[in-house]
Amino acid sequence: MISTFLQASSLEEALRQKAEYGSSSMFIAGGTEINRLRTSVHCSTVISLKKLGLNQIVKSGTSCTIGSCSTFQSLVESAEIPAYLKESARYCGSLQRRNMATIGGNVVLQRDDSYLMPTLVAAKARLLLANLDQDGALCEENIPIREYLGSKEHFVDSLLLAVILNKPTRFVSSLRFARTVQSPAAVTLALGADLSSGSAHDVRICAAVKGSGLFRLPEQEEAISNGTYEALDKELTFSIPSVQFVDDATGSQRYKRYMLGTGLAMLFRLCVESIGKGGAS
Amino acid sequence: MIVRCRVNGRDVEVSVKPSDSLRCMLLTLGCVAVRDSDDGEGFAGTDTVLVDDVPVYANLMLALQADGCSIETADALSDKGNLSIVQQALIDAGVVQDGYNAPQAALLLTWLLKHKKNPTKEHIKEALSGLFVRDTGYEHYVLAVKLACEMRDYGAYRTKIAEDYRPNLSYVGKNKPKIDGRQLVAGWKSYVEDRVEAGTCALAMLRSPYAHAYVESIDMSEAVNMPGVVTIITAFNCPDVFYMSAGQGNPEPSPYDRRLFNRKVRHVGDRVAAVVAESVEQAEAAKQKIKVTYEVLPAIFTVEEAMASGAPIVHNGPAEYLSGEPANLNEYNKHTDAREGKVVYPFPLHADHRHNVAAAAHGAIGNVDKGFSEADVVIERTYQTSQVQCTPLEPHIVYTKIDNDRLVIHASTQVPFHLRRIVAKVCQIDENKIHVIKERVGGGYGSKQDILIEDVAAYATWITRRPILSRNTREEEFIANSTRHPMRITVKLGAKKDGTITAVYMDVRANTGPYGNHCLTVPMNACSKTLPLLACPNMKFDVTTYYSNICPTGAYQGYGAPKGSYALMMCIAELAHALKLDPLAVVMKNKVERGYMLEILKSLGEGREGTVVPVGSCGLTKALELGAKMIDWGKRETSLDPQWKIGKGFAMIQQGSGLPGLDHSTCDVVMNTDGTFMVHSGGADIGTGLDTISVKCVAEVMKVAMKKVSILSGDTDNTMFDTGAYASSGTYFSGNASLKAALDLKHKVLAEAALQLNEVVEDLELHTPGVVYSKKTKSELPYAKLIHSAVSGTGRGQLVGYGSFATENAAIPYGAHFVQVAVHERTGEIKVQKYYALQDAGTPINPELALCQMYGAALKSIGHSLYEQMVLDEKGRCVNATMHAYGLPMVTELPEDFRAVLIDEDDEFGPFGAKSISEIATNGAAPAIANAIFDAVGVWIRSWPFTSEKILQAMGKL
Repeated sequence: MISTFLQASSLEEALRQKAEYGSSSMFIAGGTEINRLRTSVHCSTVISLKKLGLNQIVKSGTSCTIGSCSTFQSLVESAEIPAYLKESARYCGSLQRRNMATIGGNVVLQRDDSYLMPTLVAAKARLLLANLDQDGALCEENIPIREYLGSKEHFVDSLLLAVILNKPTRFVSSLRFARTVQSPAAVTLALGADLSSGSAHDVRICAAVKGSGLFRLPEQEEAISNGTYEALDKELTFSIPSVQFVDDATGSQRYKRYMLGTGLAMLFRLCVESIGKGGAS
Repeated sequence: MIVRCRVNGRDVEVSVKPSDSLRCMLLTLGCVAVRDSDDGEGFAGTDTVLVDDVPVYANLMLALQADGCSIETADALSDKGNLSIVQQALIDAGVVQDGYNAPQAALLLTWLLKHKKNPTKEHIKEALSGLFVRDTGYEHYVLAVKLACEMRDYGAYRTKIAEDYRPNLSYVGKNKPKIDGRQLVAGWKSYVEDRVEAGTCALAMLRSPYAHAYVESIDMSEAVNMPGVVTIITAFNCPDVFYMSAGQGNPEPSPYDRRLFNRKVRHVGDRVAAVVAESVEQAEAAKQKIKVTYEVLPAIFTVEEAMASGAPIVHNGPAEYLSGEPANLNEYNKHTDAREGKVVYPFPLHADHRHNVAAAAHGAIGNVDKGFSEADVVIERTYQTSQVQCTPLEPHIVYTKIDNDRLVIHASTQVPFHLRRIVAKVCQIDENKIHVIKERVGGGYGSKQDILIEDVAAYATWITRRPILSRNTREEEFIANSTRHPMRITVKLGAKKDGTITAVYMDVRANTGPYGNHCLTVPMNACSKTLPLLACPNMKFDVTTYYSNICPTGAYQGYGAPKGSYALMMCIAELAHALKLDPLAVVMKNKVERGYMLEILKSLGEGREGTVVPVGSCGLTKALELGAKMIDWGKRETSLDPQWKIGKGFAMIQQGSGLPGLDHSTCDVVMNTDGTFMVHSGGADIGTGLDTISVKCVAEVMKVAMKKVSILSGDTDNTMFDTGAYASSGTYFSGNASLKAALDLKHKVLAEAALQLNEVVEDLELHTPGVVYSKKTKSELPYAKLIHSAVSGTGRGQLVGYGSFATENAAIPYGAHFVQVAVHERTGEIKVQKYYALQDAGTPINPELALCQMYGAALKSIGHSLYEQMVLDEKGRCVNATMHAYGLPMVTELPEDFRAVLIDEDDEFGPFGAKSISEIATNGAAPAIANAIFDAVGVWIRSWPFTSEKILQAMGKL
């Protein structure tokens, strides 16, 4: 139950409020998770970011900086956003929710049916985070999203300011497998690669699997990068020792492993077909 | 805290709590059209508003987030009773039916037209992507936008909404605005929640965490002393009355196997205690303080588990019979446990509840053994259907109060008169002490045929004399409501090489769950709405229904027919494949035609012997032939992407129009003192347009404009008896009662006019716009003048027409659904590319509403076939009891090419030739899609839902 609503007027104030209220507080942007029935997060204090101007999408040279309070629908409508991210934003099937849910919220939550995280990891996005230093002064940190994925707990007091896309020619594509557009996905999968050399390298593969969480597939990244991945048109059932797959209402663990393997093969096919055709649009 | 914002053009300052949602704040400002269907899940869109001209969910936004914003709600779309062009277009297109989120549709489409002057279908789908529509599908929303654009640009509609029928009639068979459309689309107060007065208490239900357990003790000492608590009702202080929740004809063909609260809980979510308190918060707080001690029992969840030797017994109490008591009853009732309660049978249902058998039925015609022996090919297949939920936008809700020392029940119900009878029984009071008022119903689909919350609230009000509001949460809608009975159906077919079917056998094993409401009739319906499609002399069926500990089942649109249709029509396709014949050719060879005597009906009555009748009006052949032509049956389609395999399928379908011999409707029509008319119909319009049908019947007979006819319906004090809106009875029974009442009034008007004019009736007739015309003198007597003379003190009194309708005649609707699917051979994903629903509804009295109901029912059954499923864990807990997780189809799941086609037939028994329309449309999707999947990738999917996982398994890829 939310008992305190704070309206931050500056980044510093937002971070000070967060420090003051600690783990019982959360930043609120769209609120689609905090206010939702059966929410996965619980807090008694919310700190509104509404007045901080974090909803801008700015293109500068080859870099696109997406304010963390940018809604999914603003991603869909912005001319600066590459098609692969628009597609991922559209995985959220409801216009009303796309108008409310933010890119920052989706990154911070890291849900196991995340719409955006697999794609952002595959795109090698970077995150701009804000903190207060020991003197209470604002400091910013620019980190690769893979670092945030792997060590989320290190950033619980940070304020996500923006997501930065700075690889405009990178191939990125994703797939989502769910019963309906609005159902929770059993598997969401994205593959990104640099195709500038005429083959795929610097590969990133990230999956959101219901019940298992978000994770990368380093062996497959390596195999594609070094040209040993051969599953172009095969149906594959993955076995990843480090990931526990579970049976649930979205499908059996066997089904999820199959969709992960087959989905990757399909994405790799797209990747190969994109060689020589330019990168993201 | 204070929120300062602008709401519908007015600056406001509102004091809110930090946790208050925007919807909560808007309700305090009187914005009643901002409703709730999902408890803040962010799915259904009934809470959609515009914040700074952006559509959002008001339940997902804190009120404080809207500080400084401009908010628009659907409440402001109409101006002093004048509807906007979008609102009017929605009514005219036929999509305003249950109406619960019609205001939000109007808001979204108005917003769309503001930003896109001439939107495409994709734009419209995008605008509606966060709005759940269960009743009418989405297809005619596109039409509504087109109509609105035409009205805006040309001042008139240029597009035809639907075909007209019966050129000799003025209103019947014509597109006329649904009479409650204005209030529903505008969001004016219409539903139970809109009637609640200040000071009303809340009711919170403590539910069982166990699937099967005895309630050993309940300690409510702390709870009962909590602030605001009015009363707590449990198994230890409720009336010792056994009854049945099913709102069926009396005596019900269902066992009385429950009390308000039982000493034994039989499913997760079963009632344990009802807390009545002065606020929701107080009721919930007290609920948490109730301490219950359970003796947990082993539970069973499937038919197979219920059938097993030594299985746990769900009802192990003694049996009682109100009639037809068996000779060995004393023996049967030995060794029972008082905590079990008892099972009372109104008449024998061939049950054996002490072996988990809730009901059984058996029947046959001809000689099936001989028929199978004469066959060249015999196949036997088993099909499984799953548990799916009705998900009306408005959950179950009731408001009960005392007025004039009587119990008043504002209900969202399909059966106001059955509701009164059952509540009278539970409260042990006479029916004259109860007044049931059926409000507008925000979706029923069968689930509001059962008395699921009204009994407890009414009893609580009766004993406390306090007004009470009881409203199910969405989770309660899933776990403590009506759902489709899961069934295992084995079909055996024998046929000659030329496709002539020589014998049919159906073995239906149904899972009724914890209680036996509809336990005989739903499973029987799997046979009674399918076997009569076949002109086969040798048919046999066995129906057995088992108790288990799954969440409750009950009535759901289509009743048992979608399941029987899935099994039988799929087995026919499998038979055709075995014979190397075209399934359409096999169906054409074996289907019934007009005049065929339906001998099988004799053994398919609902707890009694059925009446054998011939097939009457029948559009089956036309539907099959036209559907085959539309979908280019027999042509193999290919995809540009070879991984997508394309296949086609179809199913022939039927339903009924009410229950001849069981249903009964009554109506009266009063001529008001100005010559207008007031209809009092016992029928329960649950959004389908039944009231409009009654008004059309009266306007047609009395030769007056529809605006001269008003109606009050479903009110037990002010209308006469009607069995209610179920079994597709509305048009046929309630409509016929209205027609008979109008004809009776016409007769009386002519007789009165003859006296006043000193003429003979034979020389008089009724003429538009409401006069008695003398063919002899060419004079006219206006109704206003006629009735004035009749009630002026020297006349013969007010003119009232009375209509009572009961019949043994059937008016069976027929149809065929054709589908084309694409199946991805690597992922098992399915796309419904084409869906054509062709149905014979006799004379469609409301053509545009009929089409929308076909779209709605077809999309619903596409959902049941492909996506929806209640998933229970090993302890019987539903793990996906939310609208998101359950898998409801939205506009994004709409078939790419979706068409509803009415086959013109004129029925001899229906009012103006009408038959039922909606339920039948749920029967086609499952078999048609399953057969199309086989056509695409060569695998038969013999269980619901047809998920990609099942397809991959069947293809040997998993």
